[in-house]
Amino acid sequence: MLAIFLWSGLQLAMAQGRPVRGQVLDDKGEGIPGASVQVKGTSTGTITDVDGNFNLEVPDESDILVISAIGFGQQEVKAGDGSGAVSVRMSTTSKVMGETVVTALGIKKEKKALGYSVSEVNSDMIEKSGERNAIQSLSAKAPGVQVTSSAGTPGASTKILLRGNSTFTGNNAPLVVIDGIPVDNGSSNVSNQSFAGDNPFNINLTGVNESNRALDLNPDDIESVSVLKGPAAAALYGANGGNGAIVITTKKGRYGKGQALGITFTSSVEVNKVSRLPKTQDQYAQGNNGVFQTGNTPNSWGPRIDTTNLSRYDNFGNFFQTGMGFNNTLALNGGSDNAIFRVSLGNYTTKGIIPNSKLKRTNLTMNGEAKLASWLTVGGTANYTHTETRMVQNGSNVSGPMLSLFRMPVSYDVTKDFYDPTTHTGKNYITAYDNPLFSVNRNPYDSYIDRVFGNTYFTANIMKELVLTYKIGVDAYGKQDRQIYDLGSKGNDASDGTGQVNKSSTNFLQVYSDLILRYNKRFGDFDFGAMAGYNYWYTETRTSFIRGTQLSVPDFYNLNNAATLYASNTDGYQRSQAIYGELSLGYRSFLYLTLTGRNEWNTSFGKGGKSFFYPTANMSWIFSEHIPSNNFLSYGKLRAAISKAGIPPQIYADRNYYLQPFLTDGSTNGNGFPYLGQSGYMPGNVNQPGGLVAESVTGKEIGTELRFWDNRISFEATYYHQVSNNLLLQRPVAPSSGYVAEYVNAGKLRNQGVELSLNFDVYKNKDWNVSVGGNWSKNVSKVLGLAQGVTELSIESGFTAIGSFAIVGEPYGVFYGTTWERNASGQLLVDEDGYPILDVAKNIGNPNPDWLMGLNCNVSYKGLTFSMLWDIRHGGSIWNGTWARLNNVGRTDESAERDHDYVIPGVYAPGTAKEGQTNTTAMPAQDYFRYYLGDLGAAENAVQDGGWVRLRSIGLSYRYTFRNTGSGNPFKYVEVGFTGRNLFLSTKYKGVDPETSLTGSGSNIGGWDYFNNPGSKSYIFNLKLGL
Amino acid sequence: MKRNIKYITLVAALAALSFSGCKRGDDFFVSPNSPVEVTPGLLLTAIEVSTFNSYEGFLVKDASVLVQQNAGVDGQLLPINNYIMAENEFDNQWAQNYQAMFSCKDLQTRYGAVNPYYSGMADVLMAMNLGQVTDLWGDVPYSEALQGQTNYQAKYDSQESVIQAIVGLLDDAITKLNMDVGANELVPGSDDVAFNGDVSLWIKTANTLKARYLLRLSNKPGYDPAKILASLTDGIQSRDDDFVTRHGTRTNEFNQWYDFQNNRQFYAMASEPFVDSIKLRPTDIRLYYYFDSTDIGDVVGTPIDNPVSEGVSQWGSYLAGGPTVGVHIISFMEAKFMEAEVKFRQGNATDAATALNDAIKESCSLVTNGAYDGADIATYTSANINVSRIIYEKWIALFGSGEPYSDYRRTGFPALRVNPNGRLNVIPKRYPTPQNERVSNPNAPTPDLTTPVWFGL
Repeated sequence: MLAIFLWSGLQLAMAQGRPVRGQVLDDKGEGIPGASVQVKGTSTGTITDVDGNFNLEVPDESDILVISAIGFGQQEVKAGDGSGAVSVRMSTTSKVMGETVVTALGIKKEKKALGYSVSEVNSDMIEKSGERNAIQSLSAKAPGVQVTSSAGTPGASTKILLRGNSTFTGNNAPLVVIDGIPVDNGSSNVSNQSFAGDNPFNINLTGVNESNRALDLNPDDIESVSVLKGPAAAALYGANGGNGAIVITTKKGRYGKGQALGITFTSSVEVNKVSRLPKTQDQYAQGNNGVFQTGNTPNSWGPRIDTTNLSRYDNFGNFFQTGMGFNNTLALNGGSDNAIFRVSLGNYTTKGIIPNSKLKRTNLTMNGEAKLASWLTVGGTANYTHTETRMVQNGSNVSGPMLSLFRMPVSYDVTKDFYDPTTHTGKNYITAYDNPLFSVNRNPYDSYIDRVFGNTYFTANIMKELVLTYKIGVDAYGKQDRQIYDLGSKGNDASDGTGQVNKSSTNFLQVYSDLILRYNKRFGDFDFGAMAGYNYWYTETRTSFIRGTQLSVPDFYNLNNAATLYASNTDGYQRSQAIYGELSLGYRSFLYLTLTGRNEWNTSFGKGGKSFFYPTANMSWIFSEHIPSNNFLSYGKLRAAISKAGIPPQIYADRNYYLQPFLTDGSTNGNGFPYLGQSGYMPGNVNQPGGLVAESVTGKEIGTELRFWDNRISFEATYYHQVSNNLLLQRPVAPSSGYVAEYVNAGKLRNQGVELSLNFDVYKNKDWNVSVGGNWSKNVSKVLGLAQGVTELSIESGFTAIGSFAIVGEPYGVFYGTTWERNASGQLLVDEDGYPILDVAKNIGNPNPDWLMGLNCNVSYKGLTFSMLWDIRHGGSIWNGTWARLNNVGRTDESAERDHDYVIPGVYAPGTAKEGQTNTTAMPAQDYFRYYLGDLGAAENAVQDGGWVRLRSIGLSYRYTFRNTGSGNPFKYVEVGFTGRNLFLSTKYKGVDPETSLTGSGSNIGGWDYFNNPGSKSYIFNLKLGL
Repeated sequence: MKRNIKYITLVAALAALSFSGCKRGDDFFVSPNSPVEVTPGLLLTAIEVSTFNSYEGFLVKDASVLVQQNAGVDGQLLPINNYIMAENEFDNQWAQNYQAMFSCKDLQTRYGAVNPYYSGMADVLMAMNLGQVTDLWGDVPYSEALQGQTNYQAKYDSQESVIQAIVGLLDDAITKLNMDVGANELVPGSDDVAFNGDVSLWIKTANTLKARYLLRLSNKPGYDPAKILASLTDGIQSRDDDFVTRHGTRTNEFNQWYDFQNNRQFYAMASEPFVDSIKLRPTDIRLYYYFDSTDIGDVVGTPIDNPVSEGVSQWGSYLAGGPTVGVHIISFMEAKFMEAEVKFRQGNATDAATALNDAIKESCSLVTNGAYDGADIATYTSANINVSRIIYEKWIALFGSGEPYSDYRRTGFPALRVNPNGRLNVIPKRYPTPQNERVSNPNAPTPDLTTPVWFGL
């Protein structure tokens, strides 16, 4: 310790030097403003002025200057040749060679040294997307990333998957890291969803889907996002890195003397409209068998409207509204030679396309960093968010607006008498469902979140080559949700109109800290680096749920208005500690080898549980350094990586507990505890024998990065092969044993695929910049094994007709649903009456897409910029439960054709009189749509192609940059623009926007549509001022 | 130097913070949300509520559709009406019954030796759950079942041996419940939601239940009428002894007929064969308690072959009058019907007729809350009584019970007209082997739904 102080003392004494001035130029010979010029190995530095000039005190003539400029990477030059003047020309080659990316633990590395694939999304691309949910803004921008929004309503969750699902029943969500500290986005294995202790149903099938918490982040504060896709990139996160990581860096100030205070004001107005709705018929009225009925049937099998005196109503038009949103962010940043800071204040308020849905979010962020001494830098960030949303229910509940609205006969007027304040009832076409306008107005779901996350850190240059960093961060939020079912609503648990209030509260806290020691030294041709670190990671959640039923006083929703109260609470605590290290070796800047390892102890394995080790090795070879300079290939790199990361088990899963049973078959509220004032317990029905080991994801990847024609074309390709082992699952066992399942490590899953990205700078000169680009990825998942003797496993509980399963030999999450009996040649079998025959449940579709592609095009001329992003998904089936039910009730467009009988294409089944012959027996149209196409038939009929071609975003903006700043004109630039979000969609899917999910981001299953809320498209007008 | 020491101290303090962390002790390892040990009372309550739920749930509702007391009009009841029973239809119910039995076994193992009353009640509840599965599925696992991870693939036992085991359990229960109260460390009380700790009622229930299962052997060599009558003598003697499900006003305490009608309205409705049969005797107003009248002021049933909901009656006050309605799942009236059948088969038609008339009168009085005594229809004599009439009257009386379905399969009565639109040309004689058992237990057979169970025709 003492030696270090003496050394730094000596260093300080030598701080005086001699002046050097110079200019930094770009590849066209123009001066680069704002380029950083630093004396290598010290913190002495400055930035260039508007013409690219700089002035600097250099301690020693033999010192090296490191020049870096945004967009040009880094270059090194000698500080002096005696003349005191230096001229540096940054070339586009150096742009590539010096590129840095943010990797795991927030460490910036040179991209050339990385042996694995990392994709970057910058703030420009995020802004152009027009999205207000940070995760949603990543859609179609990087290969290997699948983003699925669950609906277009405010607060709707967005699910993100990197290279497919890596686990069965554990969490598939990648880690989300902000400024080096992981934050909650549903990736924690300590569940942060509050739910009733007496409700055993899959809460994702009904009600409101919880938002993913990345919603709390203001996208205007994001500088860049690094997507670390595979275990190689994320292994330093150990047991939490198995699903990859999304590393977000927020905007910061910039070092440099003499900067003015930077002020940026962004404002936008968005107009949201519903994007796509199922096609419905408008010919037939409510009723059955051609007879008009109203009040007690949901069906539209009534008479032709033209033969009656009934009217037709545009219920969709009268229900959906145009939503308006306003987003404003004011940011201040600045810096000097020794300190930087940024403060931002943002507000986003929007009303959705569904009446009475809204979101309001306020963000306050600050960050700063200061050089307290030449060897010590400290800094921190703090973010406060307050988010309020009023969200819309979906799925299988009678107060879900889409369920009631889509099924609504065209002969019924949704606006008529939907709520009478004196009787507290609403009218509907059937008493069993709430009128959708009644439901959105009288059954609101409100969510309030107060969240604080941030970190503090210091970096100490102990010696010239030795750096000690300590960073500690916290993510804490309190969330209060309230679902009201008004008097008269059928949506409460008892479905009897007596009202209900559900209140849940969640308190989440995560504390994370890293202590890292890094050593870097150049030995001749070799660049050697070593790192050792200690990590501490603590998560706790405390949730409580209160339900009040049987309300007395109208319009009053405090719990003291309830005659019956029920409460439950759940807590979870988890801690992990790890030590990790990295060794890296670079040879002459073209060959790099890096090894890392992390050994982790996690309390979810039980007291005295084992620790687990996660290693990686990666290599990168810039082979273009060996090829003579040419006009064709300007840069070529080959990279390879092999790694192992993990996924932790659920907490408290290593022993058996007694649980309060829920006794239910899904059709009623069922029975539960406390019961008549008594409590009751049974042994849990899933055996937890303990002895768990970590799930691990072993990945191998190889790739190449190539640039052609002086870097005008850049191409990246990766092939990866990831195997998840020891996957924890509830292995089903025969219920006659007393258990229905056993929680064990038994599964094996493989994901392999290809990721390609291509960018082409078509034309660039002083005024013009035209570029096109694209990315393409394909992931193929395959379940390699489940437990012994088990070939299929339900991933989450679902509906009776359909489930999502892991089936050996099939991709993860295939649909498992009822089918029609067919003969050996695949022909449909019918019975004597011409009706098809239900067969057992089988694999009926794959919700995983075949491939994903994003295509972008950017044209800018002086201050005018035009950009377009196309998002194409090929394949990916969706179970369209909505369509099946709408066929059943006679609402689909197809079902309008009911004036004739139908003959099902098939052959008579064995055992019938005309066995083997083609079916000629007709059935009435109503039966055809109910029993064959509808959901009284096999689920296989309802699986549809969910592929799409979509114009994700299109934008046009004009930026006017003021030339003479300072002379009474405070503005640096003004930018106005228009962005269109999701304006064009082409798909074969017969429902709402196929980018939809009933189960949302909190679930591992995808591809279900059962009265999901529709998607939205937006027209956004932007204004940006820079001062 | 001083400044450096200040900074170093800061660094050390921060580093120390990261090592001390947040202490939680055992909360990291043992769930703070669930216990690892409970009491016999907690297990008993849970098993009882589970049993109430099993005896009011789909196992019984679907049976009522198969014997045409109800028609399955919509939802999952419509395929049942048409004899389409998917393999996974009863996965939950099968698992629920076996879990209740597993809990009974847990209670026996942990607390049974020193608590004969709790042990006896657990035996009766085990018999009730086991009885229900063997009635519907025939051969089922028992002797190797409920062993947890020791044996995940239990062999199937013949229905004959399972019924013997049920009778054995009930005999054991009767012995234990007859012991002196002092033999118990803990005595059941309010945790026994069915009988509030009254062992004499449990003894009577056990006896009547034993009679029920002994009567299943009516077509089989082991049929012993004397034993049945002896059990009935020790069994339920009046309505006050009935085993009635208990319910409450909180949402999770509801009667499951009422709950189902509220949540899945129009799925099951009154059936024409049942309604019209009762209407053959216009004074039999049980009809108006079984079902509510429609707009036309009368109870209407829908035909089985093309069921509709429009203008058809729903369940009335007897089963679904309100959330707290209790269902008599083992009753005095059933005991009387059993007595009538056994005595008739013995050749004692006179006493059989008396018992049958008592049964009918009891049913009428119970169903109508005393408004109708049934005397004018309880007019059987030794001349006009036979098994067909006994079972027919039992079919009309036991609405809301699974017994008529077992009686139909055992005796062929009442002579129901098979649904011509049904996928099978007989009424299914068993439930399909549950998918979750078939997939994980290679011993599970998958007989056709047209194959009768051992006690059936």
